[in-house]
Amino acid sequence: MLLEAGAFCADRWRHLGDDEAVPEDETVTVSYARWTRERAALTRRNAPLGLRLPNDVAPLVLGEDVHRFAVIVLDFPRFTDGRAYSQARLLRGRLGYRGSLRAAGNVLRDQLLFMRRCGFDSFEVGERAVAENWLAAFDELDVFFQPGEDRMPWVLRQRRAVA
Amino acid sequence: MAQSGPVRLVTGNRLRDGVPVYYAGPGRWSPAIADARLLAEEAAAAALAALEAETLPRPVVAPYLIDAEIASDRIRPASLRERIRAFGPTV
Amino acid sequence: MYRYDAFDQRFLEERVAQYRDQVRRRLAGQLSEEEFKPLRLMNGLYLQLHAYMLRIAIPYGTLAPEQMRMLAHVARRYDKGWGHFTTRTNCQFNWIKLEETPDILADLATVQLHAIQTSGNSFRNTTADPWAGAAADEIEDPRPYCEIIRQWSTLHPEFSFLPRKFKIAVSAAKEADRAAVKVHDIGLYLRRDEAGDVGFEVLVGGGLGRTPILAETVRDFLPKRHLLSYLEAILRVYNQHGRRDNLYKSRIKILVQHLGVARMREAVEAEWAAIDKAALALTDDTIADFARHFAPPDLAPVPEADAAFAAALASDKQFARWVEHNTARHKVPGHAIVTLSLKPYGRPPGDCTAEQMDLVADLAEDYSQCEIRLTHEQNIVLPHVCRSDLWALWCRLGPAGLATANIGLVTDIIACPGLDYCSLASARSIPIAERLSRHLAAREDDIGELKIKISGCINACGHHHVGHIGILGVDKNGEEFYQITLGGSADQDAALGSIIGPAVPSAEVTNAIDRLIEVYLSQRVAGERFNDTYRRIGAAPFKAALYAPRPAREPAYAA
Repeated sequence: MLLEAGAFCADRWRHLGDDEAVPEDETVTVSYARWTRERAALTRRNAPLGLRLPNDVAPLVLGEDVHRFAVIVLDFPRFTDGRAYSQARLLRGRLGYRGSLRAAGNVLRDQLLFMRRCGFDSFEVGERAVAENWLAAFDELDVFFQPGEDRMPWVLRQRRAVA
Repeated sequence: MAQSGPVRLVTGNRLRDGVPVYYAGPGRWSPAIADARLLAEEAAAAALAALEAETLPRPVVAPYLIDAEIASDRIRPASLRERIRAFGPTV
Repeated sequence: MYRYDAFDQRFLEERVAQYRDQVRRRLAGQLSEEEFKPLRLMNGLYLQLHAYMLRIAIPYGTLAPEQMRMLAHVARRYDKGWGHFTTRTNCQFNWIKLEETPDILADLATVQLHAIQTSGNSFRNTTADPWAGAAADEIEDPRPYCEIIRQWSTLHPEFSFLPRKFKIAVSAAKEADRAAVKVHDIGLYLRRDEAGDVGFEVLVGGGLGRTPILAETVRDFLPKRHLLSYLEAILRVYNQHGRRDNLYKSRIKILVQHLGVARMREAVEAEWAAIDKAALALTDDTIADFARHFAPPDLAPVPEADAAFAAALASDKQFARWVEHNTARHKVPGHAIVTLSLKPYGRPPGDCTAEQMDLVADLAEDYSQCEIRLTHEQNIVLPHVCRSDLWALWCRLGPAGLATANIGLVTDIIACPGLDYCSLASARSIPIAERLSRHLAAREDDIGELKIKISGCINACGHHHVGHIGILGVDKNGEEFYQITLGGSADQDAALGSIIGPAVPSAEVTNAIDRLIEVYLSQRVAGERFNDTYRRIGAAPFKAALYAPRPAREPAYAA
């Protein structure tokens, strides 16, 4: 299940295993390892494609290829492993990625706002998210002390605007 | 109590206030180590497993086993750390 | 000092509400301890041996009187009537209930205090020189930059789950480093370039703990406008490449050691080159906005010749002694920087009762332009006292137990709470401090400046690595032993102490320190302090004295 655009919805994407045949018309994600091995074939495909990037790969290696992916999935193997936050910011801010940026793995309610601010717009969650109303997490803070990728204003600039 | 010598017991910290507590029987925890239920080895491991399988919220955080001994009819934890937990700071 | 505006206050109130809900969900079972622990650590709440411990942030060690009174209120209302000031200039309370912490944070928020990020794997308290704004040797007050860093590092979405904690210190007086800059993850020395423009020398990779290391310079001069973007570059390199597999290898110092400072510098500069600097640039206007909060107080210079003061010094030896040890020259003539000792003989270092806190608040209002500072050596500073007020101030200290005239002396011991309170500890530290303090009090003037620092475990919260004499508690088969180091220093001559030999059993620590001091006293030449003598004669004489054959009835040291 996904948390996306302020609502819970079904996940239209399928995470394809490295040994599964790539379907022509389905929305599937492939691993980074597979992308590097089969790039030529995958770029010839017409249907939207997603990429799963491990959290120890520098996003900059993708270069212009980022724009080929309708969705990029970043990983939080444990919620305390914060490498994907930097990956997200680099994808959005440095590479200008405009597709869907999804958080997967150990995604918990109290990190959702941090994730959004780093540029994530989609979150893989379980039933617990509905039962515990994780959507409320996004409204807990509206004052930010640093710029993020979500275009929210930050205090240092807001002060000068108000003064 | 009639026993003497080394024993095991279960302790943890109470969730709501962090106070060290000792397992005193099913559903019972006491801040007084004198109330601790003394367990033989197999029973100790089983008790701990049962506690960890309880549904949330568990009233006690991260229970674990400690060694203690009975001396002059009192329960005395084997380690200095657990004695300080049971009886308070030494300063 | 910094005063919150509507943005700051709104943020704090939202944060308190967010935390209150996190506690509610924990108590209701919606959050497991594993999920909740990093959240409560982000709010400075540890689960310790006897209760929860709350670590309240005192940003760069600066406090207003109403804030000090609020700490007294917390001590009385929620704890056992006292608190503890730490080597990171924060305030700890040891008997806290989780269920009361939302109310405590709400109370703190009314005076712009909080416990945000005093623990957890993110930015900790950015510390500064406790004499900032009062010392003659600083280029300018570093605290506006500390406040800028504090705000930028608060709940930073990219850097809230770093491999490990992150500590920054700022000093504007490199030749008299009172902020221990070189043992921080990032150290910043405020300086001027040839053109006279203000900027920073940036050091990276210092730290204590299991692998103590001094920070190295990655950039000689960073223009002040680029402070935040450069910090972002360093943090991004660390967040991506710092180790996450081993708790004891995950600070940035390990990364710097692994890469070497040259490759670390390359990585940081490469990331910085790609960062959009305009987004984080600090304009002169913005810096001036912050600097206004730290404008120096209006102190009128007073003539140096002061008959009344001279008379008081002559008539009261105890007062004279206190002035000699506990006061320092202020940059404005006729004024003094006063240090109040929280090291009464034979008592736990750094502890402070609610009554003492209230008194310090009064004294700050009466004599120190409503400013209070804390030092990384666990003492309190009143930074702006007129010399003509020193006598009246001192007279009020005695009855409150705050008049100990021992700043920098051997009884001015730094110690962490240790195994009496802390669940991370291997051994106790407070009883060692108390015993040494009682034992050495009578000889402290003769011994002179000597900094003893005691840690109860390898995490080194007592900063033992940078003590002239450092003492580290270890557990050997369930017994408390103490490793002694010599020659450490936290100031501009920063140095890490060297282990002198095998650890000493608890009962022998006083005797061991006696022997070391005896070597110093017998070997020192005129004017030499402990570290001067140690560096001149080396470790051998100390080692020989410490481990000399002992009478048969005394126990041997552990191998």
